Amino acid sequence: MNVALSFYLMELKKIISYRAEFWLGFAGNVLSQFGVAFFLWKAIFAARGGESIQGYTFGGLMLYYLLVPLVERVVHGQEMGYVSAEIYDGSLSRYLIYPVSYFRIKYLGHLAQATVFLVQLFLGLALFLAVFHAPFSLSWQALARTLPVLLCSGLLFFIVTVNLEMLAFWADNVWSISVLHRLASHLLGGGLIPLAFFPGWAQTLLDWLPFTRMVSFPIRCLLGQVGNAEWIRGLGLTLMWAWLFALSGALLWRKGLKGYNGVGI
Amino acid sequence: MIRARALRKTFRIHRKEPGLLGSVRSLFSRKWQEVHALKGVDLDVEAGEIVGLVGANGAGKTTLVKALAGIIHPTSGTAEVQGYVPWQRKNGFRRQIALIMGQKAQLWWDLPAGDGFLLLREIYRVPKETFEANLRALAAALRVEDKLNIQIRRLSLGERMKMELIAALLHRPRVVFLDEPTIGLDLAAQRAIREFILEYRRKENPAMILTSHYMEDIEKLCERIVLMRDGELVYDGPVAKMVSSYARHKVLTAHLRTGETGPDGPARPDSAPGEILEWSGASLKLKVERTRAAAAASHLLQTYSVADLSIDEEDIGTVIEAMLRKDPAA
Repeated sequence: MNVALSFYLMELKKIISYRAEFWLGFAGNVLSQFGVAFFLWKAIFAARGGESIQGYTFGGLMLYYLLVPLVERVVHGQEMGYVSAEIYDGSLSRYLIYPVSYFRIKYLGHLAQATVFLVQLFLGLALFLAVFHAPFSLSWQALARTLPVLLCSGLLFFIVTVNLEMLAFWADNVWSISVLHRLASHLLGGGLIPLAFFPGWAQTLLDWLPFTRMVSFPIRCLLGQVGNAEWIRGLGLTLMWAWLFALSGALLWRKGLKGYNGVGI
Repeated sequence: MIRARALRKTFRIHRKEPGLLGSVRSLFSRKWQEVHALKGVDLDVEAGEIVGLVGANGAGKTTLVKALAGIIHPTSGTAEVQGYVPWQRKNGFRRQIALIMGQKAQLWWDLPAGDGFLLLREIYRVPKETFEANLRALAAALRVEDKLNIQIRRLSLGERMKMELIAALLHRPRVVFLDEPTIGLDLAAQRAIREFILEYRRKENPAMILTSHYMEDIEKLCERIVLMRDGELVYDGPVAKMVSSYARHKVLTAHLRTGETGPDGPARPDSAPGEILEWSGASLKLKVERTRAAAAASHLLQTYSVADLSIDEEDIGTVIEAMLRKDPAA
């Protein structure tokens, strides 16, 4: 067994050892977001009348809003703050001594968490199909396209997060920056309302930015709304952003470590 | 093995005045202070040596260890550990060192130690047979064979420290940094860990640097001591030489014959040839200047009915404390 697989399995074991967190996190996070969207859009549909808004039926919108927290959990992986906390409390030091890359270890932790959330994503979908009998079926082709997209989107999110968290080398607190990042990716990525509700110019602009790659793009892939050309372009854009952020991350890491004091004198 | 020359480290620390006003002010303008944690340190440690690094809090001991372990970059100066520059953190360097920090857990809190060790086997690429043999030997030496399957957070402090030691030594490092390895442990656990460190040194012959505030650690483990004060080395040499060169006093203990007391009866003597440290009515302990130790001993023998008399060096902790205080009257 190699070191990457060992780390991945260890992280998986750690996560699974918290059974209550597995179920409560799933129910609390997903159902609360879905519940708010359900009652809000039910009222909007009742007030406006008609079968659909911007091409979305009520059932279609509900499916979208179920997928937003499920997909976001897979893409986001670990809770935020894990890198900055290790910089602040000095526990980063132990990783600097191991002959293995710190970010490789952290990414494997992210992947392990994402794996657990992926299981929850399919559980959530199965639940939705059983309750709503929605006009949606998961095709093998859509699934085959979604899994690499989730992997790349997760990688992008991880790299952006790590970039922001490394500001902890200089700033006393980076929590608000991380919250802003999550809020921006949720809002501008189509998590709060689908991108179809944005004006045309904003949709064009957002399509080039990294946020949509982390929310709406994987959802649309899963729903089978993405063709071959768009899939390849989307993956390419995701990897391009990931590469750009990886470059800035490498710079921040080198500079940051020069000033790192490992807490205490 | 370890070689440091003119090692300096300056930290820039943000100073904030207390209170709400201070917090508001710091939003607009910040005051910075430079702290010189290392002021040109030279140090050599050879294979098989355990060097005790001693100093008051903030003297720079941990900074020096962190620089030599490659955790922090020094401001200037050079260092080589096993032929590598530590802060370049090449894998070849990291495979040969271990850092044990008594105040910081390095093992994974939520996992049994056994799982953490398996992971370390992969990290350090230790062959399976070697790993199993090492683990068996280390766990037996520290008597924790039956604790390997228990989550780290459910172990006692002493057991956790033993697991940390095993984790750090599984890959047989050539250089070991021990930062307060016995802090907070009971006497039995401290003794077990000291014996284990000596046994490891005997078998593996590594270079070791030990920082500790427990003088017993230093006395039992180190032949050589390095004293640090305000980022500088103030003494580097054998422990015995430090005591004989720097201790200005000796301690005389006279046990009186049964039923006998001094000329003042059972009361504390009014005068003595030195500072009275203890008087129990049946024994007298004095601190006297080294040059006057013989005369004081003679005085005690003439004045009291002495059954037993011993002349000892001052406690090492007292000598170090005085040296660190720059106190010439140690």
